[in-house]
Formats: sequence, structure tokens, C-alpha cells
Amino acid sequence: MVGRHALAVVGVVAALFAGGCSKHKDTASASPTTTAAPTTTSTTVGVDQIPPVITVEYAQRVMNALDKLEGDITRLLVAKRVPTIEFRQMLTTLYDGPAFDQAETSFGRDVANHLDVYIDNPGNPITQVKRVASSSSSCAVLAVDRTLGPELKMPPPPDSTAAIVILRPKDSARDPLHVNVTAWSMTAFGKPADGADLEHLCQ
Amino acid sequence: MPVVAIFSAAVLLLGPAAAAPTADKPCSDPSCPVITPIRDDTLAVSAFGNDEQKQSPASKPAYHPQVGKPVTYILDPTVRIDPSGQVCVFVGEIPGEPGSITEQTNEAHTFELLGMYPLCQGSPRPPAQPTPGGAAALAFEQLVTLPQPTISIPPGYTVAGLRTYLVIGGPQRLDPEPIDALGYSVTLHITSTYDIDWGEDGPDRYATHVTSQGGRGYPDGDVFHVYTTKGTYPVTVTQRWTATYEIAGGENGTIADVLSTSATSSLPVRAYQAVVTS
Repeated sequence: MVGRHALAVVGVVAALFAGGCSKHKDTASASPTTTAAPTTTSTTVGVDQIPPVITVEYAQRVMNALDKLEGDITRLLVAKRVPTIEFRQMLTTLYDGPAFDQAETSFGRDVANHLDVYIDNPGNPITQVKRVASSSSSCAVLAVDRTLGPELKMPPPPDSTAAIVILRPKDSARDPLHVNVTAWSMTAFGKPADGADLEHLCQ
Repeated sequence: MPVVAIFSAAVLLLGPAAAAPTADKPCSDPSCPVITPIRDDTLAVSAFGNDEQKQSPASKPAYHPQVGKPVTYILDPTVRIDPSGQVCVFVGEIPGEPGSITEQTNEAHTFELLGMYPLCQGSPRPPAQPTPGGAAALAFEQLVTLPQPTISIPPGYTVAGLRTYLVIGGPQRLDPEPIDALGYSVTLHITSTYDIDWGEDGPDRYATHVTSQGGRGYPDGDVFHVYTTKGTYPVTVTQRWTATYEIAGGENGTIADVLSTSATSSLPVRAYQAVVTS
């Protein structure tokens, strides 16, 4: 169900020191040498990689990409009015496991109801990652505010968007169209169940 | 809720000292192989976010079975695509109240969709014969064209502080000829009331369940509003349609679903100020 992913390493680029030599050949006298302040930059781990430590910042970028994908899927469905092979293949990589079955049922129910909950040109869902509740190299449990409001005629109330998103590494075989630019699929999205131990879900 | 119970039971089985298998660490303890690792993350959430957020509280009231009463199920049609690319209908079931709006609507949708697409492989088979209520709901929701109301506010503008009279046009009641729906001959009796949004914030902005069309309007109509501030306001009239039905052969009832049509008109509101001249 979930694929294997190599760990990405946060690369730290060595400090760069730049000399201030003048290259003006017609300068009569040499310019005084100056030394730039040392700068340290760190490369940002791409969303197609899984870092050893999953930060809120990284998780936010992953969710931004997944929200874009969910928006694309919804726009495709609203344009075509019925599910297509492309729709299903895109949905297959966005959601995995039982969450895929639930998403397929949810969208299928919307089609049965003439897609009347959606605006004509749906936007992307919006997710704000509040906290990484638990994580490992093959799991991330995110406490988020996530709203499908930009897709819907009747956006949910702002105070109803607190949710949990659980990510598992994407199975590349489930992404034949290469539309999921992240290393992850969502395996759950919803309110925490009573008694669910989110802090240790990834251990 | 049952899936949560299963999750809890599995956790209890493992116990605090057991070498619990997790997603990352396959079990190495000899006692572990009898325990199936739990990989269903949806067990950690109590509701699926998509459905929860897409659900309109007005159109799909939540189902809360009474304590001690068995949970009942209603049809839940979904449109899917099978591996060959064929659009099909999967007829599942969800907990729901018999006789509810959702049950009638879902049943009507099921048979409507099965008239358009084949049943998906692996789908439970729907009942061979729809209920009369389902057939009536289908007739009301899909086969009757409901007219939009019209709005008239002569002379096309009004003045703040004075009564603004609204006249609504269009039929309030429909009695269409018997409709053949899903094998039943359905006679509908459709009536309506109006909800009015005058567009100006304030305690009198909304008027609901209005039965009058406003009579002759100015100066003695009975549907009016007094604007307090000049501006241009959208006046919206929503006509809410309800229906009762009779099935040839005897049965009759009320369709629980309420349909609506609406119209909006932009109304300029002027303000006049007395100017004292010497």
C-alpha cells in the first residue's frame, strides 16, 4: 500500500567567502580588499523527499502541494461531470488505503447529487499545519486547519476546520500520471477519534 | 464508531509490555505474529473531512438514532468509474432514518442513476421495486419544472424612510398531470411559500414563510419594508416548494424534501433631505 522512500538529508552548504577584488583593469590603484560576511544557507528539502525530521514548514509545503492536487481533481470532476480514468488515477495517488475508498465514495456521492455542493470553478483546499503530532520516516500525523471552502458553495464554518491529516509515503505505482509531486499520500483526514493516541501513531 | 472500538480492542490486546508492531517496526516478538498490524489510519479519525465539510446541514440533517433503538440504513448511491473506464453506479448503504428527506432523495437518485448507468461490479443490488415515496420524490425533484418567482417594486427605486412595496409574480401552486415515475402513476400537489431577503442589514432584513404575493403593491400592499439607508440593495425572493402525492391505487403522503427557486433584483434606495431656504 505504501512505497519505499529514500531518506533525504538536509544539506548544509558550506559557508561561502567572497573576495572583493576589483576587476576594473583601468583602475590606477588597487581597491582595498574587503571580506564579505560569511553566509550560511541550508537547502530546503523538496516535497518529493522525506527528511529525517519532519518540520511544520516542510509539512506545510507538502500540504500545499496536496491541496493543489485535490483542487485539480475536483476541477476535473466538475468539468467532466462524471468520474474519468484520469480522475481516478489522480485520486489514487492523493489518498491511499481506506481513505481512498472514502474519498471515492465521497466524490461519487457528490456526482450522484449533481455536484451541487461545488462552485463552477473550484479553488484549492487550504491547509494550515499547526503541529506535527507524530512522525517517522514512513508516517506523519499533522494537526491542521483544513478547509475545502474554496471548492464549495457553502463553505464550512471557520471554527469547524480543525482536523488531523495522516500522511504515508506515496506508492509510486499508484501515481501513473506523476501528478503527485510529493513523497506522500493522505491516508486519513478528519477529526481525531475518541481515544486515538495521535502522539504515538507513527512509533 | 464500531471501527474505533476495534482499534481500542486491538490496543488492549497488545498490552503495554507487548512488542507492538507498528508501521515502522515489524514485530519481532514470537507472540506477535497472531496480531495483525493496524494500518488503517482512518481509525484514528472519527469522520472523513471531505464529507463532513461538504455536507449541507440544511439539506442533509444528521442522523442520530435514539439510544436503545437499532441503527437503520438507507441507500447511498455513488457514481464511480470501473477499471475499464465505464461510468457506473455503486449502491451502498449508510445509517439513516427511514422516511427522512435523505432516504427519499437517495432512493430517487438511485433509480434515476440506474436509468443512466449500469450497476458497478461488486455493488450490492438495489431493491427491485422502489417505494411509492421514492417514486414520488423522483417525480417532484426530477420530473417537474418549478417556475421562478418574479419581482416587481414599482417604480424601480425607493426612498429611505418610506415603505417599499414588493409584488411577487408567478404561480404559488402547481397541480401537474399524473406523472409516470418508476412504474407508479404519481399525482403531485405542489404548494409554496416565500422567503424574502431585503438586502439591508438589520432585524427586519429577512421575512420567511410569506404566503402573500404582496397584493397590488403601493400604496396598500401587505409585503413591504422600510429601508433606513440609501444605497443599492439586492432583493431576493426564494420560493420554497413542498408537495404531497397520491399514487394511483391508494397510497398518499408528503414529500419531505423542500425545493426552491429564486429571483434577485437590484433596488436603488434614495435619500431625500429637506433644505430650509430663507
